[in-house]
Amino acid sequence: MTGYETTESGLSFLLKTIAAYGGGGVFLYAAFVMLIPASVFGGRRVRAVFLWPLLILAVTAFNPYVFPWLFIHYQQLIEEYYKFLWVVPVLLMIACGAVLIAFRFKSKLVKFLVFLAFCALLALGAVPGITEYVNYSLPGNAMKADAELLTLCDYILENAPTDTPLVAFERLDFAQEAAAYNASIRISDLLIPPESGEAEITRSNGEDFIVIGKDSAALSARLKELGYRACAETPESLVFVPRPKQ
Amino acid sequence: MSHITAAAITIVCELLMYFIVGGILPFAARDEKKSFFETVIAGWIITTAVFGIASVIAARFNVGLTTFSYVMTCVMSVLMAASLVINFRSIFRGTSVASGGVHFFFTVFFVIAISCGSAVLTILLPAAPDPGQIIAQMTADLSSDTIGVMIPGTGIARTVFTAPELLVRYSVFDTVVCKLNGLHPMIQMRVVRTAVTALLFGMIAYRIFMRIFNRHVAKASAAAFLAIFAGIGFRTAFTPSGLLYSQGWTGNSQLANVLLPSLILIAAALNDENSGLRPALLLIASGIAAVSLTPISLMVWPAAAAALVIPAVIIGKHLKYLAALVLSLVVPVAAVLLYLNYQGLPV
Repeated sequence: MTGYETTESGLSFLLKTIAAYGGGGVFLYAAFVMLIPASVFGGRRVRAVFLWPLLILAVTAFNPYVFPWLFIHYQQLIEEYYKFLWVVPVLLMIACGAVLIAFRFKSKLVKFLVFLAFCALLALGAVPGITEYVNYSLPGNAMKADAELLTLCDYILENAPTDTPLVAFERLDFAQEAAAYNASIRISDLLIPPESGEAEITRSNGEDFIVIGKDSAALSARLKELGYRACAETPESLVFVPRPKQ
Repeated sequence: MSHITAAAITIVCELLMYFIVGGILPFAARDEKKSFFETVIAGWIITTAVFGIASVIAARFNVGLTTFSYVMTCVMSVLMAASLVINFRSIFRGTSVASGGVHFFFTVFFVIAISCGSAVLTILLPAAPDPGQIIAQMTADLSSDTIGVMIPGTGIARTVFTAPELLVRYSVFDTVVCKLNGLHPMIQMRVVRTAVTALLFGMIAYRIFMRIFNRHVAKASAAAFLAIFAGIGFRTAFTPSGLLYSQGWTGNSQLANVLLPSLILIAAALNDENSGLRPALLLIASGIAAVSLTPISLMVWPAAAAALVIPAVIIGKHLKYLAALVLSLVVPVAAVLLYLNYQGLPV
């Protein structure tokens, strides 16, 4: 919750936190409403696990007069405070209250119909969440990776002999980002980037692909001597693969 | 064997392992019907706590992944063997999965409902970028035969562990599983771990309602079904389904959907008469497990534990539970002190 003002009302902050991190707060508020029949009809055992703990939390972790003091002294707590909402057993409270209401009726048919009605209400409440992630699509190039790297990774994954190709990159930044782009790409330490000039070659680990810069002429010649052949190129890079064994 | 078949077998094996390990804690009254679900939940807590401690020790002595895997296989085998020897008769004779026709029907229904929900939502949701870091670390560990040493995707080794890198090691269990059965970390986490987390949530919900509704099977079954059904659409932290299906393998999800609800189950057991030592011991174990899940546990778990146990202490006048609460806070408080004063552990 960035931008929290210490002079702001704690209750206002709490409500904003619920709205921002509780899916608008519909289920959370429904849980508090369901706490009433749960506490009234549920008896000692239900109150012991739902009502009393929440009252304790209300005067401590959720106390609008307590946590502003905490935030003044521990600024980083502001960003993590919403995780206290996980302590509230939202789903269990809703279910408990709903079932206790349904079982107040003697007729099995009415019990079942009330139970179905609660299911329908929960399904309605689920529509925004379901719709959101059915329509969710990853933004293109969310990691802001270099276009050159994306082209190389796509080529590697399309032409890899195994599900987890072993790839050596001359550029350290490509090595760092490639595996993050796709966890299937394993990074080899075949090429050690030097302080200046071209990379040095260490012992082979059975790499499936080796990617070097087009301007690394000596390295390119060395790879050809070692039995690799260039199979693809991009505007700035060459891709080598081992020659097929005869 | 296809990946999905291997994943399904892994899920069953993990639940069986949790069941056997969970049986090591002493049951209460001799005549109490031992619950399969509660035993599995106890086994998860104990396994998470054991791996949490072991992986910190492994970091301190720079133990490789292969060695760690073999050692932990031996440790878990000894635990399971001890559990079987101590509790053989009570585990297999007295354990109830179903005590009647309706009960069994709903048990099977839950498993199917949770599995389908998990599968459908995992397929629908294309990605969750943040938890990918965990899978990347697992992949780096498997490639380098180290535990948390290599920075994912760089080929560069860490020179020092930060406090979260040292203590938050819940994924080490899954890394060991991948090492032993050859599953890719992506499948282990997105399929196996998510399914197990979802199943555990269903089990915990059912057992909580069985205890608070005084073992009324129909009420407990209906309430557990509603809780699972509501969970599909419940949103928290911008993420659908309350982190359960969308990020089910992360430490945050296991904290929110397994550990915190299991605290409620422990509190419900504490409020039952003649609950014996078992809930108190589980409370202590869950404090250790909390440290290995996420740094947020150190803030959230003590608040939840205190809020749930104090009513049991006051209402039931069970001062011994206060002692259990204080003992369970030892490891989290030690972890907080470590975070505040940490200078860095060299790799």
